Order: sequence, then C-alpha cells, then structure tokens
Amino acid sequence: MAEHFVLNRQSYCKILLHVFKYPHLSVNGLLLVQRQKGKDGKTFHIVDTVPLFHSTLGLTPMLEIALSQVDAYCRSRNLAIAGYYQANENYKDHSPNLIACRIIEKISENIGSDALLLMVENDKLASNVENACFTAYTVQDGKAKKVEGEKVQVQGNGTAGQIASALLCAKEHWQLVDFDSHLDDISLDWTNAHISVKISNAV
Amino acid sequence: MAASSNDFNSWKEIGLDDCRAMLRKFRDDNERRSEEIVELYEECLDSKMHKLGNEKWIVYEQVCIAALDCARQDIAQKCIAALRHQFPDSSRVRKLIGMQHESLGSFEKAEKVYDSIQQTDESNSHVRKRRIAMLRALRKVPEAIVELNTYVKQFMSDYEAWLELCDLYISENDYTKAAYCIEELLLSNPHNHLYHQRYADIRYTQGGMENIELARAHYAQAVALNSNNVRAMYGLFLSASNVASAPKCAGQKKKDNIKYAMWAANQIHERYQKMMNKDNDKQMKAVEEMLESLQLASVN
Repeated sequence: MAEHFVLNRQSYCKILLHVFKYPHLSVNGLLLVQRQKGKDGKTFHIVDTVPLFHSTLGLTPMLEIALSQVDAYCRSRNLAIAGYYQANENYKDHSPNLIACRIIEKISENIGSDALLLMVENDKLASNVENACFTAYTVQDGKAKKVEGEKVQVQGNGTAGQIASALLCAKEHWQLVDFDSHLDDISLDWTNAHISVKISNAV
Repeated sequence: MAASSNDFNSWKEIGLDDCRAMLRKFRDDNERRSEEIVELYEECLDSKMHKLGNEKWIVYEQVCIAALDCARQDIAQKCIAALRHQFPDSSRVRKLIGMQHESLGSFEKAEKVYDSIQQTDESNSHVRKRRIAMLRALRKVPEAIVELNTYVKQFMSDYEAWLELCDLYISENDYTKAAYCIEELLLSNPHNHLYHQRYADIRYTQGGMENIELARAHYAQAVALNSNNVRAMYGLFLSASNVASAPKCAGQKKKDNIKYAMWAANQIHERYQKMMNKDNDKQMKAVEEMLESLQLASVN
C-alpha cells in the first residue's frame, strides 16, 4: 500500500467538476495512477480520474462494465486503477458507507492490492486549502480505516484550485461526462478528453 | 427551436420564447436543473415576468424551488412574495415557505408549516413527502423508510415514491425490499423498460444463480421493449456470460446463455461502431476488449 498520494491538477479538477455537476446526488469515480519509480516506490501519482456514476451507486452490473472498460483503457495507456473517490449526497456526510467499502473491496480484488478510498468532504470544497476536502481511507474486512497524516496532496501550489474555479465559472462542469451519461448516450466520451485539453491549456 | 442547455454563452442572448420552452421542458421531464433555471431567470426572465401571462405563477414556483436549491434566498424570497400576493391562502405557497425554512436548516419551523397545512388538508401528499425529504436531509434513513412505507400504502400509484423507497433500501443494502418496490411498479407498468432494467440491476447485485438468471430475463425484456437501452444490453451480456461461466452450468443451458451473450455483444459492438469517430476509438477498443474478456470467461 502506498504511503503518499499526489493528485495532479487534472484529477483534482475533474473530481470537482463531477461533484459540482451533480450537487444534489452522490457521485463516484476511479483514480488512475502512474506509479512513481522513486527511491521508495511508495508515492502514487494520481494522473487522471474517470467519473463513474451519479445515481444509485449501490448497484453492481454497470460498475462491473465500467471497471472492465476502464481497465482496458488503462492498459493501453500504461495507467492503472489505484483507487476510488466518492462524494455523498448529504452535505455534511463524508463518511465511507457500505457502498464505498464494497466497491473498494471489488477494486482491490481486481488490482491485486489495497485500493485507496478518497472521500470528498462537501462542506470543505470551497476551502483555499485544496486537500482539505479529501480524506483518505483503506478498507479491510469490509471496514473503512482512515489513513493518518497528510497522505493526500494536490500538485501545483494552489494553482489547481484556481484552475478549478475558472472552469466552474465557465460552466465546464456541464460538459463533464461520467460513465452514467455515457450509458445514456454512447457518443459521449467518458475519458473527458475535451476537459483534459482545457485543463492543460489553463495550466 | 429551444437553445440547448449546453450553449451557456448563448443564454445571454436567449429569447423569451426559448427560455419559456426550456423551463417547460424541465417541468415536463421533472429534471432538477436548478443552476440552469436560476441562470435563465437572471439572464432573461427577471425583467419580463409580466409577459408570461398565467404561466408566470408556475414559473415563479419553479424558479423559487431552483433558487432554494442554489441557496439564492434573494430570488426565492422574491418569488414567494409574488406568489403570496396572488394566492394569499394557498397551501401550495405555504409549502414553498416550508421549503424555504428547510433550505435555511430551520427544520422545526418547516415542520410547523407542514403541520398547519396538514390540519386544513389531511390528504395533502406533498407535505408528507416534504417530511420524508427532511428525514433524509437529517440522515434519518430508517425513519424515512418507515414514513415512506406508510405513504406508499396510501398512495400506491405514486411511482416517484416507490422509486425513492427503492433507493433508500439500496442505500441500506436491503436489496430484497428494494426489489419488492420495483415489483410493485412492474405490476402496474409492465411495459416500462426502465423498471425491468432497474429490477434486473438489483437482482444481479444480489447475486446467486437464481437471481442472475432472473436478471437476465428482465434485461432481455427491457431490451425487447426498448432496444436503445444500452444498460439493459450490457446487463444482458453480463448476466448471460455469468450464467454460462458458472461451474454448474452445462449442456443446453450453457449453449443458450453463450448464444444470448454473443448476441448482446454483437448488438453492443454494432452500436459503438455506428458512433465511432477518431475521438472515441479508444472507447471502442475498451469495449471490444471487455466483450472479449468476459466472453472468454463464459466459454471456458
């Protein structure tokens, strides 16, 4: 299990866009990494996210389809699924529920190691401290355990928040496509290449 | 022609007719597009409400609810004032005042408003639903389930309520009761492909051979009712592959399920091919790989 996670600006922005697109619903998605080949190999760089669902999160068939396709996509890009984020429906509720634990266990099974569970704290999204709205957990035996210490950082020294704000003001969150939207209209791109371009231009 | 809600920049120039059409569409589809409704109100309607004729009252109500959703108390207050002036004794307007209290977190004040509405109108279903919504907002899910159960016994044809109850049960991992809710809906709406698909999703999630076969049957029915239901098509593929790859599955049953899975896979493949362009070829590859890997598992 990695000890540090760094969210790049693209991942941070996409998570926020997903949460802001569906403020009244729970949303979830996958975290994709390229493993840092550093001295200790214990830092995971989350380089992209795939927003998954915004309606009933607790049903498995479409989750299985999504995991399978994202897995295939990752292999073609030298990426790997390393974790999962979830933002609960209720403004004040950021505890990992049964659904999050089950999904993490499924992902951990698929990837053969402990997946990271990132819960989004809705009431801290407006904070100037970018990583204030994330809490990291691991799941063992169906129970979520908080990862202590500052394990999740956001790349960019504050610029990620600025880029996210700019995107939100430009209503880019309406253009974000999650797997749910893709299932409604398969011409929509769940890799959100159009959004990634806007984020890299803003950097 | 109504402007697409994706054309944000065009909203500054949106005409009154287009604006009205969009709001009508949101009402008809029962969509919660609160941010967009507030934008439309600010960009277009605010100064032109008097041009809407009798439609303005329902628009005020729609904008009010959207404004409460977006914490725009200023707009909500304006709408409520206009509605109160026109309909001074209306319980529908008082419900909005209750919702205003809810949006400010004053749940006890909201409760009082709803009590007073129910005193004058025992059968008011809207107020009962607001009480259940408050329980959800306060994260009292078991209580919300109890209240909602009482509600659906009285208002059995309220499909929204059954779907809400289903969602609550799923959030509590009670898939059996969630399935029961959809069964109730299927009894009165046997031709609704979305209900068949939702039922299949729940049964598949429960797992076990019997449930997955039941899921497969309902996915098939959903596809028969609407061949554009991609979820149902994927579900049919997944459930048939699962049945075929089960260790105890052999002989004709295995052959049949492999056939169903392959048919669904082809249908899915065809749909993606029609959509293919240089932007989504990576998705096409992902779909192909997925179909291959799951099919291999079922054949072996």
